[in-house]
Amino acid sequence: MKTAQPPIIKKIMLFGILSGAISLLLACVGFGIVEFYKIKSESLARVNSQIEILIYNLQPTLLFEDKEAADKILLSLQNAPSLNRVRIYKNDGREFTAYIRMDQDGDLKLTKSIQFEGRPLGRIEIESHYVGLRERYLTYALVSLLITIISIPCLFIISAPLRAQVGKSVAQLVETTEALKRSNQDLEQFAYVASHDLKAPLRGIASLVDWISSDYTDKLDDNGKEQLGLLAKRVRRMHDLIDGILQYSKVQRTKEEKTSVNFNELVKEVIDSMAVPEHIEVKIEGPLPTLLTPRIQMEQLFQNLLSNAVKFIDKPRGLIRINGTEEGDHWRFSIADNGPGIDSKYYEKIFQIFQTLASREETESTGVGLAIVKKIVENNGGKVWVESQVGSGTTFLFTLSKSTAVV
Amino acid sequence: MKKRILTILFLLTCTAAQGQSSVSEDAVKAAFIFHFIDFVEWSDEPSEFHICIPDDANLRTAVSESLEGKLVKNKKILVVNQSDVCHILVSDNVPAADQTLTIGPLEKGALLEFRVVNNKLRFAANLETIRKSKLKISSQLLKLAILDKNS
Repeated sequence: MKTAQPPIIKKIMLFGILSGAISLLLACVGFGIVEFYKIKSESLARVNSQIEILIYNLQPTLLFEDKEAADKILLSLQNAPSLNRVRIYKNDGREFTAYIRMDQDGDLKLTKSIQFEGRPLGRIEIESHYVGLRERYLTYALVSLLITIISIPCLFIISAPLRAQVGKSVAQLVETTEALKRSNQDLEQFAYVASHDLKAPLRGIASLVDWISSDYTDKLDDNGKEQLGLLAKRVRRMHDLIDGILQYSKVQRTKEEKTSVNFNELVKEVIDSMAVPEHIEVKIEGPLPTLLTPRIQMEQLFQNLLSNAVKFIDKPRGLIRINGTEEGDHWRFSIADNGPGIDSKYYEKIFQIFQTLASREETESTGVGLAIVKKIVENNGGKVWVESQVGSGTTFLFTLSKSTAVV
Repeated sequence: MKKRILTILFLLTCTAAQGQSSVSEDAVKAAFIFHFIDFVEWSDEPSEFHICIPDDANLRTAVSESLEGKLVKNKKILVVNQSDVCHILVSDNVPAADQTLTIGPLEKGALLEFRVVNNKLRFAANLETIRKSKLKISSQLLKLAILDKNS
């Protein structure tokens, strides 16, 4: 069964034929220009040699003031169809004689002095036109047009196998992309629905655990109470994980409009909303820019990076420094902490979803936060990376395009 | 040099008015003689040009006034009424001479002859005599010459 050609193939075909035709026309124009200069230089050479011959013949006529003889010489120019006018002037500027074949300005005008044995006798003015230029150009235009018209179907025939091959590949590509898009959409939808739907029974389990621990507190021994406590903890972690998945899928699904965001204010608001422990100081060091970005995503971005830093700081006096630097066509943000640091072999791994370096028991981390950070930054055309040394703290860096800057 | 040329050019402009007086015609003849030298080659190239005008005192005066001592082809012009060596001889009686540009009646064997045509001074040439002489006269000059039927 023959499938319809995708629009891209039609575009490629049109572009190919059009560029072929344009190239041909350009080549013809190029030849035309070369021909014009050739005709021009030929005409110039011809007129120059005509002038030399005329000067040689006219010298004695000027010396002996023999106008009749000069007229006879000029009459021989009847056989030179390219000449429009020839005027001979005496030394005092008066016209000695003239030959006018066509009383209109020529394409080429040359003036030369007439001398004899180094003595000036007068000057000659000659006006000439390019013979057959229009006819030659008309022929060129017709031939060019003919070649172009003939070459279009030729180009069409020659490019047919290539077109078929490209068409096949493009069709496959389109099909695969569509499938991938559908699959991604399904996956996101599934993640959202599954997370959402899982939350309800989870809330039920959490309520049951609550009831059991309050109703059966006198009937349970210590072991039973401990097991129930562990169950409550696991339920809370599962709740956090589901929340993380929901947030992650939301970043992709939600198309948030860009607004003017003052990062100085935004970061302050995020810090205020976080209830940072007292032993940790958060400092905004440099003035941050105002950019055109999705506000909620930026909040999520800083929230995740800051809470990540807060979560892992193990020093009695914690310090988080926030900076923004203008670099070429983008702004580079950094969030540096004095936490335990990360080994370089984990630099990539930490941005993958559900990846935590410390055990979940220690940190209560879901492993979703940095994956969300990466997704937000990349969705906004930037990149994110980490610089760290074990024991010397960690700096998370990311970029945002300056083209979104608000003046 | 410039002054001389200007004089000659002035004389040539008088051509149109020639015939009105014998002085102006003689002056134009002098200019013609001067230009003839440019177009003639002597086989024994002289160190100076002797212009001999034995008969016509008026012409001699006119030629002498405008050409005496002037340079042509880097050589001096001397105007005399008679000399052993004449490079140019203007006379009604021209003897046969190989190395002289004779200007006089063509039928008497002169190479060139002054003629007035339509009130303008022109010159005629006898090609046969020129061929026999040892002078080379440029075709550029001969193109302007009136050629007699028998020449």
